[in-house]
Amino acid sequence: MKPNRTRIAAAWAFAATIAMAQVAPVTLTPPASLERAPNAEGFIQRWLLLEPIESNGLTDSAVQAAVKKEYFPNQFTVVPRDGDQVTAGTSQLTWHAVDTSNYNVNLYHFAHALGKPTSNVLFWAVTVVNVPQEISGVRLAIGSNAASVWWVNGQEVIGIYGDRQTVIDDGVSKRLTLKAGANIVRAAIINGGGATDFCARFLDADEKPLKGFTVGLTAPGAARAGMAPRPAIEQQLTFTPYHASGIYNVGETVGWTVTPGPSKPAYHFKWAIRRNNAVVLKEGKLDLSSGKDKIEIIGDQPEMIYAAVEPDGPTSDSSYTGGNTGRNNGLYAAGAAVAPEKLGLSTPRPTDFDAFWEGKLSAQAKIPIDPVLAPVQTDVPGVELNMFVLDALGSKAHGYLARPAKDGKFPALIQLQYAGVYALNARAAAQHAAEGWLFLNVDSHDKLPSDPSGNIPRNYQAVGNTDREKSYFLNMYLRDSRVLDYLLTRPDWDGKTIVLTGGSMGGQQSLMLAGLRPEKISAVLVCVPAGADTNGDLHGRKAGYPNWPPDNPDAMKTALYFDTVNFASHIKAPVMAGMGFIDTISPPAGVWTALNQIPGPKEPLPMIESEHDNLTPQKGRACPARTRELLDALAKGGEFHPNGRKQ
Amino acid sequence: MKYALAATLLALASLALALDGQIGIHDPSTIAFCNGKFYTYGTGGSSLVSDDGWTWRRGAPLPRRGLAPDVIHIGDRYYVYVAANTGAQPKAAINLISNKTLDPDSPDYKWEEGGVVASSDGVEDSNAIDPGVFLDPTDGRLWLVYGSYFGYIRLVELDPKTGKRLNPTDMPRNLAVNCEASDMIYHDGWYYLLATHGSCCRGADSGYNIRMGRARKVTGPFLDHEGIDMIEGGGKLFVGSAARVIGAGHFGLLDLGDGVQRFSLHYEADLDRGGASVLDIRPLLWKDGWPVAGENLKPGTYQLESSRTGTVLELAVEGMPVGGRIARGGRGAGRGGGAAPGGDGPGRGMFAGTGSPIPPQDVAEVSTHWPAGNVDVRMANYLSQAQQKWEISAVPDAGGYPGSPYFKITVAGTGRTLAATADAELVVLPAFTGAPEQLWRIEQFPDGAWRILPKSTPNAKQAMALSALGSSFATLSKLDATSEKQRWLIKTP
Repeated sequence: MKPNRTRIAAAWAFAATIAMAQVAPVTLTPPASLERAPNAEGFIQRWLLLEPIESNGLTDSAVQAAVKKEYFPNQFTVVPRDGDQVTAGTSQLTWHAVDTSNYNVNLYHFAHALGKPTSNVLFWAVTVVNVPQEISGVRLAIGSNAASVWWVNGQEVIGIYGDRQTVIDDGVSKRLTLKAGANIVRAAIINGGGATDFCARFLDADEKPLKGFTVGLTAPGAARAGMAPRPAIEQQLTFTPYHASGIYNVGETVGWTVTPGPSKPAYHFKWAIRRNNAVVLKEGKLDLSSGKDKIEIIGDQPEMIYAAVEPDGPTSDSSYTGGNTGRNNGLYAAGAAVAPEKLGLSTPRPTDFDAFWEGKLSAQAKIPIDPVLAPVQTDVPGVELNMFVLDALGSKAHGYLARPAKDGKFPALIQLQYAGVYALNARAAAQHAAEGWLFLNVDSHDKLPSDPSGNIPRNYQAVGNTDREKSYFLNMYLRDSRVLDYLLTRPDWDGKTIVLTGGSMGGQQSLMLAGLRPEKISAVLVCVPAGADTNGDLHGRKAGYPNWPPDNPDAMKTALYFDTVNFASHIKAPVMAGMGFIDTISPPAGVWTALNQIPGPKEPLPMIESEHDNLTPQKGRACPARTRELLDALAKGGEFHPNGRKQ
Repeated sequence: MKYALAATLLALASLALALDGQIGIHDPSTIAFCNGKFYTYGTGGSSLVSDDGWTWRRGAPLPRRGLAPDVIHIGDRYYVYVAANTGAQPKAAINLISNKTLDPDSPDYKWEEGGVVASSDGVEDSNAIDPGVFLDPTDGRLWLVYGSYFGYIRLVELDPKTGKRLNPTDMPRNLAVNCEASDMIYHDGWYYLLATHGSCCRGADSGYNIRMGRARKVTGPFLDHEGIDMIEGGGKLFVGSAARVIGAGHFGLLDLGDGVQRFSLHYEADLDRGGASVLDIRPLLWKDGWPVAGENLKPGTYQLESSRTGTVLELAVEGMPVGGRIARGGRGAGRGGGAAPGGDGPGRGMFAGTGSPIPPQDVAEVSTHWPAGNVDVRMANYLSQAQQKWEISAVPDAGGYPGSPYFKITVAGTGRTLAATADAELVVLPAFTGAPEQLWRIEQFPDGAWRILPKSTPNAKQAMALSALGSSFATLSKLDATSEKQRWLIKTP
């Protein structure tokens, strides 16, 4: 299975928090998935960007001369990997994979965040557009600030010149043909001064935005083995935990030795230790004059410790790189656990929790499943791929179903999805079937899995959050349960193995379903599951996604019916759960709390340097790797026997 | 202002392009389209026929040689209404004749008499000539207006199944006075009665002019823009004499579909044709709820501005600022003496100009930097540069379309010619050769914007139109009357 990266709506809130502390808004983040669909207007939101090269002149001839000059080898053919470096003149420049949250890619944000110049510069940008079959009569349509030249599969197709601002569909290519599979889009954007950005999409033969494709960053022919690892950003501070595991007993001193480097610190720093990232226990300033300092506290109760480090005093203008969130945000964090297996519920489980869900399940049971399958073409050999639609209580469940194209009975894998509204990855679904799974990939929304947006509100997680009968998550959970109903009817299921998996909101749904329908589930493999300890903010624990408002008593009451901690006590299957110790979206105190409610065997997988896995994927690789290992064994008929804590 | 930009074409009065061929006619009927040809019928049995609406020739006479016929196509038949005096004026009658085709070469060409649909007895307040037939698009009812000065313009209902009078005993309704050659059209909730005022048949001394009123019901009352009922002599001017054509009369709607409407009329005297009475076809525009008589495109030098993007079509070459490049620092730099805008002399800063008029860019000079051979086309902000000025000129003997000939579009002052390519893109060729993909049909939309279509796009199975798909890019797209990308403003540079 592919590393199951998560991307989650709360990331925007996280970015906004950083934005308040820093000067430049954050619109670019590292990609958190293998491929993504274009946005609802067809804009390509994933690019590899090369750090800027000095360049002057915006006239037609000056721009043509600038972009035709060779700065680095294979300039017109390379599909770099994130972190690749090139030497242009005397400069060492790095390629960065980015996702933009907007229709456009803000190159000013990009360069400024890296401390690079933004004026009189040339940016190279590359992306890979995967189309299911050849499409003719399409056009590339771009806007740029300022001049830019564009290539599709090596052919120069657009040049726009002069000092200009980004206008949607400013430069448009003549009609061209996208071949089946990977197509390389390359651009050179030259900025004079001020703001700089670009936007790009394809238009179909009817001049409407083209949307039936995915954007990856992998060259054709290259192994689609996952994201190229992002090189670690040079940090200005190094944290060495007293316990390498990051886990302590009550009464022990929790702490870190802090040393400068590897990059020279540009700031003075202050720090705060917060219990469960909510209650400030201790504050101080770092004094690195002796070459090191320490941050420590005695762990006095079962808790997660969050040490937040930030620049002290007025922010410096010097260009600053570093930060262990993988971004240039000037912030550091370190996390530790104190007796985490003793973290209990912060809020009692509602007494009518089981009655509520039993009522919903019995109401749904009265509705015929009425499955409708629609075949989908796939280039993965030996696989049958379908879209499915099922009737559920109050909505319809959708997703992809992939199975080996042969007679037989197969172990089943249900993948639940991370937050957001997007098209599911049909090819990845087919690849799971190629590994022998009867694979069901469930859309979290009542929309076709191929539809990047449907009519789903972007803030769906807030819909109905004060009424358990109206919560958006009521139907979401019921749809998940309905997919399980349907799987149980399939004659090609082996009758034995059902694995639930997912990350973030997909982990949340996995834990939920394993507790709601414990009888047939054989394993639950989740990374950074969200939706645990939703009332934590009321009890000294910083809560995370879905960020239900703690100041609204109705929302807090409602949240308890959708909180994984309250499903967990019914889980019978063995569970593996990865958690990041500095995760602010799926806070680790909640994940521990959920695990601690599970009566059976479980395998907590602490990742002590990890923020949420869409923010610092390189720090969270242990979880997808362990998932992969377990799935490989389960697909071959093996069993999962958790053996306590994995590190 | 000597160098004022962008006066719209409507404000221009230059050389008019009249229809080509034999266009002498008086009191032309509405133009009918039949089997690939355009037909119109006039007083005295005259008729004109055209293959393209631009070049006309004499056609077969009607079997009834009356006054000012009108024609309409309903179902599989053409109904023609022809009036004749049946005694001393105003004693007259309007007869129906019908045919399956207007093409005398067709085996179906056979006129059938349909009898009298309206008449005047010579004493009543009516002169039953000058029929105008109108099919109400809202309910499918068929109406006839008729009359000429003596008494009233009258309305009777016809049977759309037969073309005959629906209820011969119903009294005609009176709609207007003091006019003739009436016709009715419907637009956006209003019925418009257009009728000709003034005197006909006096050559260059004719005061003929077309006036109108509008009503919410087909039966009136038809009020003009001042609220005066046409039955009391009201009437807003639609089109009168102008330039070298005198005495406009006999409105007829020619709806070409795809959002383009035209109208036919005759001038009592075309001074450029020896004062003959001739047919013309012009764009029908709409403004503030009233029809406006548009002008066919006149040859000239223009900027072609996209209604959608506001950018103009240009030859894709590196431009040179008019007056040459001036040294300029970055923003906030190079302001010389810091002169304020409006400084009155040279040497007073970057906003002061040179102090003397800057002549138009000399295309002969700047084009020496342009590549030879085929050059792309693109869109750009208008900067009054040579590559942005297009000469539009009629191509003789290349045919045309209702009202206008085909044009060639060249970079002004050069032979470089805009053409459609085999893959439905645009290119500028070094020279005009007369090939169909270098000929352009330029037609006005009701709001005054224009569409620009190549006569032929190689390989294209359907009509294509010049389309500003990008703010900096133009192409040919499938003709779509609703597409803002295909609307162009043709302005004087």
